[in-house]
Amino acid sequence: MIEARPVLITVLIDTYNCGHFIEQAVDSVLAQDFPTEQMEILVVDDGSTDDTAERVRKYGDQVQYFCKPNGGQASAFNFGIERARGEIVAFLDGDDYWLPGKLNRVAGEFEQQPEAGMVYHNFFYKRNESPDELSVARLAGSSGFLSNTRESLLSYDFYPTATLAFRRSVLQRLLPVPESLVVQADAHLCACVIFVAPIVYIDQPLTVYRIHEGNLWNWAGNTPPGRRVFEGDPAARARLERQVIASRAIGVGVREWLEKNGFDVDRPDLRAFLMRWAISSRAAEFALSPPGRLQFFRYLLECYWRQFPAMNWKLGLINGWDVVGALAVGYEKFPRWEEGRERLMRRVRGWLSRAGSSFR
Amino acid sequence: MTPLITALIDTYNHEKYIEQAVGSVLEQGLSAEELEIVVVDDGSTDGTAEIIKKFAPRVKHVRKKNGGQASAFNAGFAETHGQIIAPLDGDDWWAKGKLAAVVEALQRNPEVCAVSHGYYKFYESTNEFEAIGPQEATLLNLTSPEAARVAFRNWPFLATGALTVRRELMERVIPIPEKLVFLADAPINVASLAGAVLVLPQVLSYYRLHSTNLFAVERADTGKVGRKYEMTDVMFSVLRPMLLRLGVSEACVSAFIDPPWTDANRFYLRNFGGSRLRTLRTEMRYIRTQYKKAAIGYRVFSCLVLGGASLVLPPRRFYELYDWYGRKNFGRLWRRIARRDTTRP
Repeated sequence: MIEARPVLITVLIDTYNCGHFIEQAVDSVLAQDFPTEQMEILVVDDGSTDDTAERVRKYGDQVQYFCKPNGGQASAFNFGIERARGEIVAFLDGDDYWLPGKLNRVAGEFEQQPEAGMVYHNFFYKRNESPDELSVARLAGSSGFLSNTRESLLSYDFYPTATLAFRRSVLQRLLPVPESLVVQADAHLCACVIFVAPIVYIDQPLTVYRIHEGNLWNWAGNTPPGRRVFEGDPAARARLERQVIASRAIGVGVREWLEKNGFDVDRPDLRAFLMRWAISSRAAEFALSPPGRLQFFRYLLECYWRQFPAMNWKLGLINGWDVVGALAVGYEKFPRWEEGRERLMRRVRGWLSRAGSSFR
Repeated sequence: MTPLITALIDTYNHEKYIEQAVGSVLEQGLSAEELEIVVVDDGSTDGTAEIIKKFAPRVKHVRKKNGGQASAFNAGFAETHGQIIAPLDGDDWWAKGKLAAVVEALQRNPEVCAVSHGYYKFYESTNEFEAIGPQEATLLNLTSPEAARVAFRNWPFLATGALTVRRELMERVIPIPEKLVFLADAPINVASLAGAVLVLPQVLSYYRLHSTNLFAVERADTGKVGRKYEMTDVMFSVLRPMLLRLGVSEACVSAFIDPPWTDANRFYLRNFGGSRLRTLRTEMRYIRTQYKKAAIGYRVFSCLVLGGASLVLPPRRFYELYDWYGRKNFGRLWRRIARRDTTRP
């Protein structure tokens, strides 16, 4: 009987129409050198319309397969976490896969640091199917109780779903994930966990994160189109609109969670933290309809002021220069201002290195 | 597997109509496990309560003291359990198959937080029907100022009996401020727009217009018109902070709310008078929203002239002068000197 064995880790695979990737995901879990009796694998299928069901059913008892009506990633998370029995819940998206040794490493960290609420690690990007196309993500992960200082709160980066593992007792306190988060439901968990428990970062890529057509949503794909003005392509427009809505929804969800748990959301550090979603939604909004010069300047100034404590002097200088540029050239010509700044920085770097070598 | 749906009917002295409303909900053909029906009786003084009692236990009857539509929604929502909430006014009714169509749309589009559809306006006095609805399925949201203006134009499609929302959204909106006596659905409409609303082209409900319907006002009935505009003012003061709270950027909020706000205020001031400061505020906001792309000189001039005049003259005189200026088309003289719209070549 499964019930008799202690389950240590629940692997929660959420998937939606990832039929051609799901086998690789499940295989990568089964290939982990982790005792199978201490592990349960849940596949939560968010109402896929492709052949996911047949592909997962092949695995028989090794995998518990649930199919629910389509309701978005948050509903899949809520559904799966409710059924998880392990002390640790490790997430995996149906289109990504883990590298060998990941579960051992993560479980080891949880064991060594009994108070840790979340363990996450670095990851590879995979842009297409050729195996040598992996590139390591360059984000700054950090460990500790990040909500303690304003600097760590503001410099905290969110990682993709497949790199995250939570202690279930901590995870329970973050629930329910607001069901309006059709995508990026993990952002809610990442954002709230740092207020509950310390987190641990492993600086070693243990997951492959796939960027493909259907994945325009997640993380790397959602890098806002930046300053490119929207050009009237309806699909791009719809994508940008969804991006705006999703970013707002995460921000609102996190704020409501904080309020519910007795945090004062008007605290300057929390306001700055919550602004991250306003910023990301604004970037897409601006691409949809370009702002006037004054509006753009006011926006950058506000960002600058809020994010100031998390910047080092170099970033502070660069961003300050950009704020000036917003007023000087406006939104549409802003990329050229940035190019000019890049050229200037290269030149300064050249001077510095020449000065340094002559000094030596 | 379908989630539980709640039909939330609010009623006040609708003894003639409530049977038709509840009947149209029962005729959706859903069992008690699929559909929960809650009727909130906002302190009716006629035979409404007896009629609702006939439907017990299938229909849950919530009675409360009279306190307006907002308080009825608040009290009724506390009794609901559904994942999907479909509000209905006691004097309106649904077409057959409405819930099936709406729930299917909600399940197929998890990213929208509400679904609406077309409806018939039913003029009771003449027995006429008028269909209101979009030509094709339309997605409304507040992601950019343009989208916000489109959403505002399509706001009429989000009538109470037509809009069906997810529970999560209702939890965000409830409690609705009780001072909204008869525009209580506005916060629900607007909060759903802040997410996204899908409007289906099908015509699936009926909206009755009769003389006791507070919204169907006749021009001559000035008392009612005045009350309506005061209520509109209260509504906007509730909606703006709510939208900002829901993460909508100020540019979108202003594009959505400022034009109707200035219109309502102008209408009120023109007909009922008011304080000069209110006129000033209205006109300043009008300039800010209408002349976004105007040359700086044009804006400064408008601010000075309109602002000065609105402070010197009482509101009614001010608007008489304003209309006279418009009729004589003096604007064209000024437009020769400074352009109003700098986007045009």
